[in-house]
Amino acid sequence: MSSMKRHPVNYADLLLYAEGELSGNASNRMRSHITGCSGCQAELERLRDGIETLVQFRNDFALLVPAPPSRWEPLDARIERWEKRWSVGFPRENLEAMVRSFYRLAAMAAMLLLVVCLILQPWHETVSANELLTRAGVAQSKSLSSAQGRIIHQRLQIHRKSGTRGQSNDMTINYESWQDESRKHFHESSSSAEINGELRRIYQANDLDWKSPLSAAAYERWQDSLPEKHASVARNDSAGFTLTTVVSDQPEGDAIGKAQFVVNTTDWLPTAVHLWLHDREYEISEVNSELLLPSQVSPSLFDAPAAIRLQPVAAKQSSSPRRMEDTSAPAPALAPASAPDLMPVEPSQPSVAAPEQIPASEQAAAVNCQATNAAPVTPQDVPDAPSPTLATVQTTAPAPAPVWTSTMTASGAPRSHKSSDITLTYQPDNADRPISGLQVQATYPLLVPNIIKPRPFKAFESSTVVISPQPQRPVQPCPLKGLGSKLGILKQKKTEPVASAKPGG
Amino acid sequence: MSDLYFDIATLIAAGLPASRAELAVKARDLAARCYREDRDAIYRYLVALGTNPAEAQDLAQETFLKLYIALCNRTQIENVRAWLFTVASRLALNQRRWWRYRPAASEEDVARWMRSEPDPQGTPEKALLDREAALRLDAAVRGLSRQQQACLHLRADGFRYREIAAILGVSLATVAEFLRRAIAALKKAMHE
Repeated sequence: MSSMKRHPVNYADLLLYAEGELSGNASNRMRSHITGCSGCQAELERLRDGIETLVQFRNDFALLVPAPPSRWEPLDARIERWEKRWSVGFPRENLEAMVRSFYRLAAMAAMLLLVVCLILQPWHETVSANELLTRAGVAQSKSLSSAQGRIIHQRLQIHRKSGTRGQSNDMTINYESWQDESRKHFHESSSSAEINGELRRIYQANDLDWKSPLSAAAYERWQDSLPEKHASVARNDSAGFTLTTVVSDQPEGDAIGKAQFVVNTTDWLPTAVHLWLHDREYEISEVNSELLLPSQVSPSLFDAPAAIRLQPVAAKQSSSPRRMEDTSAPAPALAPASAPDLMPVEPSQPSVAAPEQIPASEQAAAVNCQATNAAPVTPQDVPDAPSPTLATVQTTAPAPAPVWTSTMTASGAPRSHKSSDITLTYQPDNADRPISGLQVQATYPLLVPNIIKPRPFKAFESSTVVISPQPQRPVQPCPLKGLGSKLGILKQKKTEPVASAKPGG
Repeated sequence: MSDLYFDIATLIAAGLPASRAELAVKARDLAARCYREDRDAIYRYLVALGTNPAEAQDLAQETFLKLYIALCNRTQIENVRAWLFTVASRLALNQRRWWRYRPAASEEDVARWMRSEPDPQGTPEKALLDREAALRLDAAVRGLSRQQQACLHLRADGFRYREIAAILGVSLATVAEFLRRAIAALKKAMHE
């Protein structure tokens, strides 16, 4: 046996030879080998014997196999049964039957689909108004969070329908905006200054945010602020959801009577906003938005006056619950009391349209302010800053008449770990009632980083801010004057001990 | 038996009727003749591969039904008998098709089938004697793999090695090796 291993014949080949399965040449070679190899001869004998055993086994096996359980039915019967079952006795002949069976299959598939659809009801899938806005808000802040250091370039198409029936006055314009997320620079260009101005006014009047016209958060705030409204969500034609908020049938002035907020369901990003006012409607839809590297835009883009323009709030007496982030000026984030938007609303200057022109001194102030904020102020720098409460800042300088002081109260609750809604209420000393509803969304890293970042605040407690103009500064009918004073306060605050800057909280 | 398959091969080579209706009649006739001839062989083969008797009978019929369908479709079949065993092998060995799952028969099952219903043809005493020896051999064969068992039965059914290789879809050398092992197992069981 062991000798077998060395020569090139294996038992399987030997078996083939024994069975006469080798081809002529191989068979001859094998035969000549076997004649000289006793091992192979012995093995060959054994294999032949084995084959006999095998055949014998098969005969014996036939005895073991049980008889078929039933009588053999004629094959014809089986064939006919099969033909009947498929109705296709002759596959290529009985085309009609094949088509019939195809229809039967198709009908079954359709029924199945129907049942599945009835169970799942994909067309009924809907969301509540709140959920829609929340999701859209999350999607937006997510996409914004990826915009760090980039410039957000948004292109919108604005369609205005105005005029009564008979004389329609439709107009479609293109609008583009650039926003530098890190520095809060903003630049816009529009093919119609008129519509742009209208919308800016409408957005301000309704506490919406013209800098991000499709902001879900702003829309939600607006909607929440309405005393009466009816919100409903429906699927729209383009695989998205449309939230319709009906406020009133007869809106007045710049108030929005009805609004629609459109999101797509793939990423929940808003795609359009539709506003109805008493005499016209606007459809603001996003064409596209992209993130640009600073190098991709002209370096002078934000140098245009519009970019650093401290956007004057239309000075209405009761006006402008404006949002802090609306200001083009970088928010003086040092002290929470320094909400710059407060300043413009100056009680001593009721209903004086704010001049678009900004005095050079104010521009300088704005820039200055920005510079002040550029240095990050950590809680260590301002020991009282970590307090979630707003600081009280008071200047002691003798105030020239008219004295402009106000008491500001802030209250709010955290929205998320990143931002908070703060409602600032302040009462000018010479006004009978507080001007309230000034709502601010504070985004921690951007607006009030020093105060809020160190620890998530639980709630804003009320605090007061008394602001007096700097004695040197003449009081001007410019809403921005307040900022100047604020700036003075800030500077003072930095140098002075902080004890006075913190309320009892 | 070989006459039948020779006839059929000649007939197929000469060309089946052009008319479809005639072809159907012819196919039915040919399949029925093969059926009468080899249904028991196929049945035994299926049982040998561990299919239970009732199932084996059904599959044997199905095998010939497939022959009829193949003839109707003018499938080129050179060796009808090998073709039948190819179909039967697939039916028996491919148990794990999702639409037809048959668990492999356990040894107890097989032993039960084998012991039941003695063949009515043999004389009682001889049958008893042979059955004891055969059962022992069968038990030895059951220890082989399915394909090795299939090789053994196909060889015993008179197939050439090349035909077995084609039926099982393996190489000639594999068939020889499988058979060598089967023979070794049988001889070992014989001498125990």
